[in-house]
Amino acid sequence: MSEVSAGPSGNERDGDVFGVRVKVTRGQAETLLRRGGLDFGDRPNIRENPDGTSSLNLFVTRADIETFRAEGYEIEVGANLSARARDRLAEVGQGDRFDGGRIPPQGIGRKIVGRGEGDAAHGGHKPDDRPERAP
Amino acid sequence: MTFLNVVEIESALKALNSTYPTLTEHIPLPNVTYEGRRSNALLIRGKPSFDCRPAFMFVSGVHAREWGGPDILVNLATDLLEAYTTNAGLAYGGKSFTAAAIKRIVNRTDIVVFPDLNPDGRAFSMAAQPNTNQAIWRRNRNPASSGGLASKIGVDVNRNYDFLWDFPMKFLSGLPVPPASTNPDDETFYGTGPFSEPESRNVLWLVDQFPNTRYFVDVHSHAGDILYPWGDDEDQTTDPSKSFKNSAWDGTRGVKGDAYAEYLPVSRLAELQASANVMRNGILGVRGQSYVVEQSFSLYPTSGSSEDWAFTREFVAPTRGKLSGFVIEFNTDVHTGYIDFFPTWGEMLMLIADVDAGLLALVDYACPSLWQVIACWGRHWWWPIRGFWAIWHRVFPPELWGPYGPWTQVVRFGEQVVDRIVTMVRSIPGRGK
Repeated sequence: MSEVSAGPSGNERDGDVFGVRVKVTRGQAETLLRRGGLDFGDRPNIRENPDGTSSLNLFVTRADIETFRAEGYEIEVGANLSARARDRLAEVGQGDRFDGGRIPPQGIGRKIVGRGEGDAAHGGHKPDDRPERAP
Repeated sequence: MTFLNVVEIESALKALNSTYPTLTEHIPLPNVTYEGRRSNALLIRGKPSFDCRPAFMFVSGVHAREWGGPDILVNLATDLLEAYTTNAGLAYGGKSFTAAAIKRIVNRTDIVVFPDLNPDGRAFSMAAQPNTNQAIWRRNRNPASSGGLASKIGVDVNRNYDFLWDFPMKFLSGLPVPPASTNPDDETFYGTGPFSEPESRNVLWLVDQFPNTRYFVDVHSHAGDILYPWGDDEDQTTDPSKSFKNSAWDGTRGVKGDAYAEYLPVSRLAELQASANVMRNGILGVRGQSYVVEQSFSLYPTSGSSEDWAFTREFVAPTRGKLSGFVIEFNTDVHTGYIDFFPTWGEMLMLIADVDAGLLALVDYACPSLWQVIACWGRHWWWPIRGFWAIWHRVFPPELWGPYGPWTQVVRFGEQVVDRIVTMVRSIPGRGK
């Protein structure tokens, strides 16, 4: 992940929250998480890096990032979550496109009509794509 | 298309019910949220006469900022109903389900979708002002423990279920990462009691309405993984005494590599892992996103979470059968590790395809086979005999007609009278042998 200084729209503001990866040992991760008050998403998420180290995902402000760096942590800064959220707000439905239940939604899945079950080229099951069965 | 707002989610469920009235049931949840919203669920059930069907319960939207969950479940219901009623198969990218599979799924299972578990939180997140971080809100909007401070409003509903909820007593104190928080200022504040929140009580109610629920999946974002129980400690399959039910182990849970690990039967562990892998493979087949399957307690514990609570049912109420609990954490791109709660709608469309394929793969995997259907119907072949026997007992109740009933006494008295008459007749000279 490369560092970005702002979100996709380049509109970083004070107090914005960034998704970051902090390169840590297990002990360092525990030290960080013991601080409390950190937003680590749904639950603490640590991934192994190819170089044998681990990375802890956090959501922190720019000030937090600078604090961690001053303490010697190596941090990769990902997306500006706040800026992404600001952009996405424009993609939230307005009003009620289903008119209180009178207009049904349309599914995005591709419907396969009138084709054989083995017709993989047209989206049907491939011979090696039979559903797994429960015991 | 755009992300569904809270009004649209409920309208979509209502519209699906009115469009497919014979295949669906609109289920209003009984507990109204703090801000007065009522959530709904939708049941998809074809051929209701088949009464051996397992139920699959899919819930989402518990964390307000994880926007895509409700969109995923509304789309799943829509696609299934569209495909079923048009005799079509269904495909997401490279993963497809035949028309026969869709028929089988709808006719032999109950699929219950509860897309917007936390509508107050979602509405708050989606009403964010541009100069705030309101969109990143996670919890519900219950102010009961806030003391009037805006930052302390809300409970993490996914720490509010009745699974080791009282974590200060149940877990080792001083854990590096507590499984939840007693501090209303923290993102994982656990509430004032198990099921203190209307949102979690709605899930409890819904699962109780469907005692045939066999799979429970809670859709979250963003880690790109599929989690299976337990979340409080490592899994172990050898010592049933080390269990969440055993208070003797209170104060020891939550540490990897120590004496305590949470018990589950070895066969159930295998089943959980197999089911999680089926979902993983379903997701993988769409566009190659390789989700990680792991135990919920991979490194750090959680308490009061939905998938663990669901899984406790077979331990606390074994007569209700197995119930496997899972969490899917969808992600934008698990290859690059891009971490985000807010994908673009274009990215979200791909995520919807990923997760819906994974969920459908699970249903297809666990859908009753033809032989199971026949065996189920076989139970009904005896109904004429059972019916005749019931009528017979109604007309001739055993207490009246049985060997110790009065009718038997009358019959025996009559037999004795007949015997005496026969004996007397035989004793008349010239009669008998």
